[in-house]
Amino acid sequence: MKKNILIYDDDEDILFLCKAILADYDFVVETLSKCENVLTDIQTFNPLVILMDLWIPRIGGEKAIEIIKQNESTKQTPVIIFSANANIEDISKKVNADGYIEKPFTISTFIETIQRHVG
Amino acid sequence: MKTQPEANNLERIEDLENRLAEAEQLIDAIKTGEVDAFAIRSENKTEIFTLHSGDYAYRVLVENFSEGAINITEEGLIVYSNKYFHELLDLSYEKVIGTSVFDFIHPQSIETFKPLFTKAFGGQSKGEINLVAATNIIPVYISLTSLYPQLPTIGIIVTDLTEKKKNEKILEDKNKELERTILKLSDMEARNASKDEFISIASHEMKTPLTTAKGYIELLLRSLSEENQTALYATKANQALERLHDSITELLDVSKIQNGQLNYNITGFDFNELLDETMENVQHTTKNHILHKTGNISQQINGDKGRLQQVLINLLSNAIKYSPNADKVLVKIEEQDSKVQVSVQDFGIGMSKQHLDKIFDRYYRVEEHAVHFQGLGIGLYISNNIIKRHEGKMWAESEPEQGSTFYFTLPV
Repeated sequence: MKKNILIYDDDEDILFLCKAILADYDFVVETLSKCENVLTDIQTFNPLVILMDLWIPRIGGEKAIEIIKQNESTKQTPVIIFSANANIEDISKKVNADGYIEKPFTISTFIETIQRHVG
Repeated sequence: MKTQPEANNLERIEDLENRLAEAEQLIDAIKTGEVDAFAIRSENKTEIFTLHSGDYAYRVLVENFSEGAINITEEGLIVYSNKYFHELLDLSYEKVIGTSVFDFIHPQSIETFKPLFTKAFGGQSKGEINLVAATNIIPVYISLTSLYPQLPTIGIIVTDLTEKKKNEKILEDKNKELERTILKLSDMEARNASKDEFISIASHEMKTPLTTAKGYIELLLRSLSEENQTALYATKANQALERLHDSITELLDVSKIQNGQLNYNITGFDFNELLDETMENVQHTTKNHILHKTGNISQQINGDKGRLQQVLINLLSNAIKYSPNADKVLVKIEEQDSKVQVSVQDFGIGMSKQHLDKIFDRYYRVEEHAVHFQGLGIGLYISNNIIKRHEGKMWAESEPEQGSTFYFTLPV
């Protein structure tokens, strides 16, 4: 079975980097720079884990996580906050995220955190 | 049988006896103070006779009253003034008596006074007016009472409001000042909020390209063998980016300290373990120095583990950084009374006394060292703040060319 990862970030360079890092691993990576259609995105890509930036245009990452966690069919999908926000740990607890990766990150932290959630 | 004149005499005697008894009763009443005035009706008018001993007490009281007391006729002529009232107007008793009360009322208060005066004839009235004294205007509270029908006059009690008004003015001024301060503060708060938002956005904007650069360099390093010269370049670039990241984080911390927004997540933890773990991590960053630890503590510490680790990293990195020719850093931990004391000693360049007091100041750098050692001069400022917030103390001892020892304490 393919291991799908869905990454939301408004910075194209970051998305490209994530794809480059994950290319060596057994993942299928889908990247998006908008998060307002998060429920249909999940339906379309069926990800094992979602990485969500916080400062993302329109509704923002926090709101998107709230939508995921309030929907019966998507609330089980692990969501990892992926941000440069210094209060990432507090925000992660607040929105009930499943984990966080603080930017800048090391490749090992990045991979370990993702793998912890895809089993 | 009694004769007619005899009977008349008996009646007269009886009448006289009754009148005598009445008179005796009246005298008794006067003696005991039950009566202090009486009215005698003669022909068409009633005259009031007061007993001097009876109203003596009231006269003295009113005369020495610490409020003004006057009695005015229905035309407004002052027929009585106590000492306080004419002294309040800064006039002699003679100048006040027989003068119209309207002469002492400020022109702008006349319209206020007139209805109070009219109303007083029906009983009582009260209000505030301004009096005109010899040299100044006096705000007063007046209480008018009709003395009808016994006397065709109005009694007025006059309370000087000068002090009260002065206090009210002071209070009003203070209130205005307070309002201005609040406005200024909220304005400052708004500006600070936008400054905070700016710093938050700026640090985010700096961290995003940093993330990308660091990520690609790490990818590059992974693809190169250690012997490759390019790998060395990439490692150097990575180290430079690490420093940039630390600087951004430090600047953000300083901004948070300045705005009282550095949050602390307090838990109980094993400080000894944190020290060992941190020393192990820092050991990896140096090839020249060995970090030695002496002492142990058994007590738990309540504090922010992450922030205290930040302090340890700062002190250990400084010790390594400022002793490039030394081969060791000594760390000592001990329990003293109800606190833990940690010291980090290096054998490096040290500094003279004049710098010791200032090294915990924001942006302070020892000038003669700044050329050779990079930094923003905020690491110790942040560390000292963190220790202070844990109700601990931080200080240093140093000698030029002998090295420095940094100490801090934390309550157990």
